Amino acid sequence: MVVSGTATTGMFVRDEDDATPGYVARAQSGEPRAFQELYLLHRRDVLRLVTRMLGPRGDVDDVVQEVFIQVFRSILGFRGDARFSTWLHRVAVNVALMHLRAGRSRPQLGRELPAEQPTPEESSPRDQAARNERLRALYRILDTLSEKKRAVFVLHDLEGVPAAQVAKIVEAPVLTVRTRLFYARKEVYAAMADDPTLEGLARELFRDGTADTASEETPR
Amino acid sequence: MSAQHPDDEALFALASQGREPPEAEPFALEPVRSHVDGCAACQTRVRRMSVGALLLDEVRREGSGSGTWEAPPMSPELLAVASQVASDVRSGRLRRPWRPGVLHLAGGTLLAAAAAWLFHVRSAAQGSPDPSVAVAPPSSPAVAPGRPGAGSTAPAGERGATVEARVLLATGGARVCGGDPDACQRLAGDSRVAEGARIDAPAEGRAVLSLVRGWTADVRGAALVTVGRLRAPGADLELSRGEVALAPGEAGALQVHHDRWTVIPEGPVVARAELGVLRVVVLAGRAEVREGGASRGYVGPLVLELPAVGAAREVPGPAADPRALDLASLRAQGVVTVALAQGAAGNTHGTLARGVPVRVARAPTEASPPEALPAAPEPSPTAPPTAEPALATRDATADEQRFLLASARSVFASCLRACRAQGTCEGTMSVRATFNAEGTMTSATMVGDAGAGARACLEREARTIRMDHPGTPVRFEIPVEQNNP
Repeated sequence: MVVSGTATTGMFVRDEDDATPGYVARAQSGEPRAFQELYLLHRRDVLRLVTRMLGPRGDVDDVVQEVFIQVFRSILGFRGDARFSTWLHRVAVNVALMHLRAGRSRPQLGRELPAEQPTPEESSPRDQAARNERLRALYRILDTLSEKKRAVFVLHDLEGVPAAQVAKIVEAPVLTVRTRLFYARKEVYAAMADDPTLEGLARELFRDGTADTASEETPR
Repeated sequence: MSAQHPDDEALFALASQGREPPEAEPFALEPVRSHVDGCAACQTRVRRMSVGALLLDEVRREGSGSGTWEAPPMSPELLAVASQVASDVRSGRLRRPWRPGVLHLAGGTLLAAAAAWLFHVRSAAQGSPDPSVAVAPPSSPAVAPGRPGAGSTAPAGERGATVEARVLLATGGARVCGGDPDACQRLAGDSRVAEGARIDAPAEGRAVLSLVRGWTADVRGAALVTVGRLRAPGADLELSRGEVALAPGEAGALQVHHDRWTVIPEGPVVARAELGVLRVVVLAGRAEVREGGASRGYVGPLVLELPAVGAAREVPGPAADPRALDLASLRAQGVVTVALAQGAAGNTHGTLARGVPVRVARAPTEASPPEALPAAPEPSPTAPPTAEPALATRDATADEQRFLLASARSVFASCLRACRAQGTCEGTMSVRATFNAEGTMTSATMVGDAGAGARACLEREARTIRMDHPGTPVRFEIPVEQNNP
């Protein structure tokens, strides 16, 4: 896979690789191997996006599979007007939101732990437990956002997708995306400031040394 | 320390130094820092936010490293789906719902180009106001007529006479595009569009089209609509995004497609596509919903959600959408005309068009004036009843209120964006407006919590709203919709 990265404020936005258009065309011609190649090329991006959309939960793999089922079934509907990755992101966001909706309509016993999680290498079980605790705290806050704001916030502020591309993914004008982002940030920052449990995490983070010097310079 | 606390965005900017989100607003941090140094409450907020900023940064940084992200093999279920789809494609059971590539269209493109040239010559001779948009651009339709597999009541390739839709109203930069997204042209009132055209209405624009058999479509709200089939027996609209409101004509003559769903309305409906869900407000009458081989009828008023994944569901909501049908007013003031193409049935669109007037009424106020059509006026069945002349000011009727709400929504959008950015438009706001008998606004007074700038903007913009000759002075307090995107 040819992945060219564009660094944007410390994040990594993937450009379309060279191979994808060919695989899409072959899949649209009914070549089974091309579906597998598309899956192998893009599964990681889809997993990352779905994980960031949903947070720590046990059914992320199921959601990723559902995304690819939708993609395969609608592959003939992809016209090539936009990049394949934009279309794929759109399907992934929509499927993730559907699962969030379905989750809200079911009784929940609390957030499940993820079956597969992208973790830094060499992380110990203790580190993993602490990390899950932090993620749970963050996604409690993101859970308070509306679907539209959450999608824009995750795509822009967590995935690092530029606003113009977010607009294509969520099929809304750029101005609307910026408005949603403005209110999403406002709500997230307010929720953080009102959440006393974050102070407990602060002690943990600073003791672990997870926080680097920049954060230690923040005022007390 | 100043008395007023910095807002949360400023505190977060202080808390997240080095970890700011992309495209974050720059803040002058020194005044914020000096306030926080002497404010215990702000210190608590910043402390929590600094943890929040760390968590966001942690999530951002994950996934760009190597980690445990290797793709496992496709599951048996996924393999089965891939295999089935590939097999269906090869056997021809699955086909593209669009025409793949220019080469396949060479003949059609030539015909369309020739038709466009012929039409241009004829339009020039007739002095058409804007011949450039009277036919679909010659770069070929993006969607094949009679979308296969959509459960069309009229079969694909149906050999009905090709017709053209008449544009009753085009505002706010609404455009018509062909297959080439760069070859878009601005729509003008009284122009025509043909099968295959894509109507692109920006967030603050709209295009009202008279389609076939009495159907009228109001394309708006950042909408992209492709006219997939436009024949004398019926029409198909593919709603890619945004909103389309439909005022009813003959039952079964119009289908709206989005993703895997097809909606066949018999009464007025509003369909909005966003984030993978098609939301359909059935205002009245019956609407049939098809998906795959299944079909189900719904009777309004109700609101349906048709998701990208899963089943259709009725949802609680205001089925009496106040923005839904100001089309009645527009139809009453516009010209509803179907231009039948000459020549054999199934002829390529863009052949010489001859206007066949169905109904003529007053010229639209917002669009360029329609050409004179030699037909007797006939009152629109949906037109608001004519009021008896009276000097006393009356309250707006329900139809008028709907029209005013819809107009205000687009008119107020720029003011709302500005005052949101400044944080000066919280709370309930409305504009108390009075119109004279001719429909011109005679007074507009802001009521509510807006700041001075927003107040002036809303009052100024409100004065651009014009009613369609109400016949008597009218008053209405127009609510300012805070959720206006």
